[in-house]
Amino acid sequence: MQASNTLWRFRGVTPTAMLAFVYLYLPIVVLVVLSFNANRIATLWTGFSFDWYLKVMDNDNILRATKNSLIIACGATVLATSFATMAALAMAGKRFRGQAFINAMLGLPLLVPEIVTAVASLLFFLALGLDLGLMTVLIAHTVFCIPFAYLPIRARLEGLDPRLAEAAADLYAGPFATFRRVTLPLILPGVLSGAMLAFIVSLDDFVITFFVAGAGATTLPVYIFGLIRMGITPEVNAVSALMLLVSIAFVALSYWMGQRKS
Amino acid sequence: MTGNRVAIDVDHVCKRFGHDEHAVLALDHIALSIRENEFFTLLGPSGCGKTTLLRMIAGFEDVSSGDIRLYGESLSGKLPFQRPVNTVFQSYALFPHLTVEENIAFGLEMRGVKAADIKPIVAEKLELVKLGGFARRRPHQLSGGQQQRVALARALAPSPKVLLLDESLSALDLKLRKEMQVELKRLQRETGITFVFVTHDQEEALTMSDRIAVMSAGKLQQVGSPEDIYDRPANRFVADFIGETSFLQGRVADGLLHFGEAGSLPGTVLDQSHDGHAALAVRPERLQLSTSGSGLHGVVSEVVYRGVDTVYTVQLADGQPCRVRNTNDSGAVRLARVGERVQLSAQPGAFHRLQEADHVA
Repeated sequence: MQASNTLWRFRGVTPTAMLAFVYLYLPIVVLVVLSFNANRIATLWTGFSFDWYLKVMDNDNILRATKNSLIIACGATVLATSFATMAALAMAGKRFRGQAFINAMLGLPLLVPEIVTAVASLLFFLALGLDLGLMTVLIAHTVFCIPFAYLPIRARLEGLDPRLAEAAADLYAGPFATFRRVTLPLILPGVLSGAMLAFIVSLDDFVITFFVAGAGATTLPVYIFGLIRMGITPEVNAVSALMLLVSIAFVALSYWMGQRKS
Repeated sequence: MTGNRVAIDVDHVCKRFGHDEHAVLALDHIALSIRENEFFTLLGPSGCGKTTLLRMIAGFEDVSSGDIRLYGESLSGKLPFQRPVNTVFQSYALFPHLTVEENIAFGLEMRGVKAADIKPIVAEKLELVKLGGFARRRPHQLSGGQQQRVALARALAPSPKVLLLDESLSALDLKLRKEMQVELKRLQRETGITFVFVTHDQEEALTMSDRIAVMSAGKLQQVGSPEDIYDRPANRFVADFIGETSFLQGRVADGLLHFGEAGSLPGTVLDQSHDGHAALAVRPERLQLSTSGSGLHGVVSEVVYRGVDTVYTVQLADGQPCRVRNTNDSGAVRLARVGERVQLSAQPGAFHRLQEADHVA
């Protein structure tokens, strides 16, 4: 909070800000607290317990859904980040006709309502005659992860002195050697930051996954939704708290990578 | 010191930016030869096309028409990494994620030199640029002058046939720049590599170069030794851009140079081949000022003391202004005050007769 920011001098700004934070984070705090509740009824506090976390670890369905989620998130991250890096390199290179249009197209999936993408993806897979399963989920996730991975990589490339690639070429490095030895190491923080974002976006996606996942391809968010329909149990709280932990870890890591100077 | 073999042959090169009717001619039929082991400078004001020409030799810009040859072999169609020339960039463009020695080794590695052979070369180049103890540092831990030396060592390490230097000293402060001028000249002598240096600083060009090409607005104005360029400028632009010059209109007749009411001077003009009107250029230091004796008559209109010398602006009796420089060898001597009547005399050959045409053929 800078001294030069005069906003804080107005009365009521601080309480309003606090209220906003409470509104944002109180439900999450309640969820985490209740995940340690000893009582079977999730909303009634009777004592502290790790039982629900142990139950989660014992539940084969949850473990299978977690495994699916991780497979898809890892796969989608690698694919989306690779495509996004290539796209960013092409956009940062020599200007070409239709560049602004393609740049807009790359960002558009962030603005399209997810339900539209979900229905469109489902129809597309059915039209192609693909069986719904892990593969269709992976394809769909890769697609919607690309813009998330693209933006930090592009930002990093924008800040890169184009003379560096010229210097590499001048010193007998071909295009691939220039990328591997000079460009990639210098944009790596952006690439990692983009990969983290893609991972987390994939890990907690529900809507699209729900549409394109067939039997046996249930991911953790889809499984949790299934559990909720039978009532909120402390088990759901525990799973959610664990996902929250993973999310926070990744977002923090992503932020740190983006900030770090090479 | 310079060989007779031609290292780089620039053969009527043009560069157009843009398309069709909007095209800008950045280089207009440039033709020049750079000799082996020569310190060759491309000199001109910003926007004259000198950097574009350098980037074409390096391969970063396409040639619109004409050809550039390196030791007789056309460079057209060769990408930068296929050309045996190296560049020292204006901004140095050192790889920030690599140490000094990794930067210097880069070109050698890319050329496939064995790791065992790279080490001694890197060490030698570090010594050459006097950065012996800096091998493990990263570029951001070095001063501007040190980064400059690393950039030089990196470009010299793969032993290029030609070294290209793009305004390489312009980011340094005056004192460091003077040091590096001497340093560059030494490096060129010791390595025997052909240097092509781009600058807008005429003093830098005169100090270091074996030959200079003066460029303006995409056209070549004159190519010659520093003495040629300074003493025998091909045209008004060169005379004006290099050093200080007074431009005067006079008349040559019977071996005398006439300036109307101001009088005449005997045998002071280089080209007396034909009589008649003459556009003249004269350096302020080639004229002498006195308050007595013979010479051109005039009145002092301005006196500027500059430490090593004093520059007098004299309004000649025929109305033309002319500058005279007097070195303060024996302390600050004020030869005349503003408003005082003076006489100007000149050494033989002080006045240079300019060609009426604006360009060199």
